[in-house]
Amino acid sequence: MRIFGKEITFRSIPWRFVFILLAAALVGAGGTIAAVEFNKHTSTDAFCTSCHSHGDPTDAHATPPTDPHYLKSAHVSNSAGVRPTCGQCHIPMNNFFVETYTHLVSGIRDVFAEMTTDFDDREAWAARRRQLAKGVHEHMRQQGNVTCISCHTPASIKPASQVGQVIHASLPKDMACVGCHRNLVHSRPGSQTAADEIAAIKRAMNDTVHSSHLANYHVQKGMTCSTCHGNDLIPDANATSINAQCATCHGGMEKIAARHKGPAHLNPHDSHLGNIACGSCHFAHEESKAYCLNCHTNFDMPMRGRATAATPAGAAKASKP
Amino acid sequence: MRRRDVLKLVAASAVAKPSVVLAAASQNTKADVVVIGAGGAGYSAAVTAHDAGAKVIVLEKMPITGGNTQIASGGMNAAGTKHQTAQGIKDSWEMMRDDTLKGGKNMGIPALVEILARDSAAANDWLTSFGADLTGITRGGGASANRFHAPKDGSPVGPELLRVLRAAAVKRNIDVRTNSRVTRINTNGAGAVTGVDVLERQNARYRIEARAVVVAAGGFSANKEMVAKYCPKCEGMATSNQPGAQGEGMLLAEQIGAELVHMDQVQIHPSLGANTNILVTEASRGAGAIMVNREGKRFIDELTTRDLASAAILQQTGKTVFLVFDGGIRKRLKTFEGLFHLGLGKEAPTLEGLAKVLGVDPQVLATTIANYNKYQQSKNDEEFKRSNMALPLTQAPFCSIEIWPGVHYTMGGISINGSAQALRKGGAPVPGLYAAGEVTGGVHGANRLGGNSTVETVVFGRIAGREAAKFIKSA
Repeated sequence: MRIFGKEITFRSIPWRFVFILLAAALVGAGGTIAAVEFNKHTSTDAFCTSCHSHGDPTDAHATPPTDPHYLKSAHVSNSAGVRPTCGQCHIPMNNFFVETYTHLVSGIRDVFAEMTTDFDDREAWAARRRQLAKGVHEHMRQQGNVTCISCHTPASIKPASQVGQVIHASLPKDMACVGCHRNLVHSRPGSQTAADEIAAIKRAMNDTVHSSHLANYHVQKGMTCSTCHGNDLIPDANATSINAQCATCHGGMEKIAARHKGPAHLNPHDSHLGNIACGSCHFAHEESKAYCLNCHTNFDMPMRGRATAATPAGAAKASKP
Repeated sequence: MRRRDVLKLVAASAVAKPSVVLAAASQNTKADVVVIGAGGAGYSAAVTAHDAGAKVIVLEKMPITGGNTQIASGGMNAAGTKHQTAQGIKDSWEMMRDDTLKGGKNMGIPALVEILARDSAAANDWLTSFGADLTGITRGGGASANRFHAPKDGSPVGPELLRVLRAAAVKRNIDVRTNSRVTRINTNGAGAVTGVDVLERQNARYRIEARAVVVAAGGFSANKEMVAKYCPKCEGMATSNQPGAQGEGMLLAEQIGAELVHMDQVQIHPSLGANTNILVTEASRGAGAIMVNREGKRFIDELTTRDLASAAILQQTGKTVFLVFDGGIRKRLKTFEGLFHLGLGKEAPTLEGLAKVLGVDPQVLATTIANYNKYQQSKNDEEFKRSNMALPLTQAPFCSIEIWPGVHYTMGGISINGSAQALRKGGAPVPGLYAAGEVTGGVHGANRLGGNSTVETVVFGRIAGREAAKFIKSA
């Protein structure tokens, strides 16, 4: 037999090579089929909830009982009758390799965690949840929200309210949907109720769009929620992370103090109160008020984000705008 | 999706760990000792409890720490200190005890007054060991020896105290949370403390479990309703206190059975800058300033007690009066310049000019000053029997600061024993509840001497921290 002018005999075929190729193909095909099966099997709610202390949503008598917040959430009971499985939100299924990899890595990690930590200890579990939730948020953000947009295509996201439109238009590309859309399926870890938190986020967004407060000013200048908040939208009590964000653009207290144009002895950024948090005076989502004015009621302290203050005529000028 | 993206994703998934440090504040947690309030007493208690081996969380509802200690001017009383010895000052804790009891019209609880005086030198040593400068010693009101300790350069003692205590807390990595208000102290069926509920400024609520709670949340001078309730004559007055002085610490303790004592003992300071909460030191009158009303006349011995001076001011037209002094008196007191910097002072080259600035009849004011200068010359105040008239008012510029009285200190509060345990009516302690600082009652009695508040925060703060740490280890 001649192929491309070359004489091929049965003996001249590199059988060893062909066998290796065939074996590899077989293993590959088998592996792929196994992986597909593996992915399918490990994406069922029953499988996920066999470890995750949640309760199988398809089992009315599950132990532990299914999270009531979950059962009421829009992703479980809605007029469309759509109910995504755990995997449809948590495992990116648009890409076979990523899907398999996610299954493998998170599966091994979860099994390890389940074996090394006693999550029946509710306190240990509560302490872990917020940390874990952050991990999930970050994961979704890094994956470009693929599981969200597999149903909610970007073109179909059309917020009805002006607030929603402005906020969505101002969002950075790499933001996690769940950064704002919290408590969608699971209640947020910690004791703050879902309703409280959603109300707080709505208030903040409403203020960002409709007020003359600092958040509005920053958004008008082209900044976004995450400019100040990073990807962790709820600030800690000491506002440490927010302050660090302020300083990245505005500089620290010393730098701001150096720019002071008023009388040197009345420098609000170099006062007898020392190096205090920016948020002591500058409020993003409510009217700013200089802390100084609590005692120095005779000062006139113009500042952005402040409503017109009633200060007595001829009052000392503590700072100039 | 391109292959490179897949690889990036795979790599990213592998490192998909929480990228931000866990914000522990937004979750239920546990501590050994919770301290409510981050002023002088709170920091003293927190550092002491930490050093005794306790895990401490400090909760401060205001956006900044420091409380009234942050604005405490003057000094800290302490008797028998090394600094006094080095400067040849003879003093003893017994003398300080007696001065404090006398200053408080013998209403102070003797056992607590004794602790305040006896532990004062140790408190002074403790602060010095953290690097505080308390070597400037002068005499405070009602003291029979120079025991009013402050930094050498005359700067106020409160910020110095906080400077070293804050640094000590940072060094120990003590968990201090601002914007965190305690809404309730929780107890079990036996009435023992089990922790606190917290409301953050961002509306997050959470719970801390702790077997010991130290209430160091300050007085109620800035709470208009409480002031009106316990001191009807003080109703509507301004205050020299920071806005957080709302007295919630007392109410939280009362809710779980602690007794409040001496609540009607409220100290009024006669001179705050009018329409402000800025204290104008009484030394201004000691230095020679007089008080003149809108009619241009003096109306009382300017050096009388705080309560009488305040009452007299409130009877004048407009309920504010003018401190009037001249260039010579102004030079005697450094604080005057600060008050002018703050926009509280007015001046004119002539007395007539000052009268115009103040809106007072120039002729009446001229007569008032001429009479006062005559009394000063003859050392006999024919009108009001003022005992000490330092200087006549003769040198330009002629100056004035408009003043009104304000609520300055609340002597009453949570009943405590010598171990800083909060007590029920009848004297039984509330298990796990401790209190220190202005939030407590009984240490001063009917009146607080200058310099006794800062020392109280440190002495009783340390006791509360020590006892709370001992308590959590006891069972």
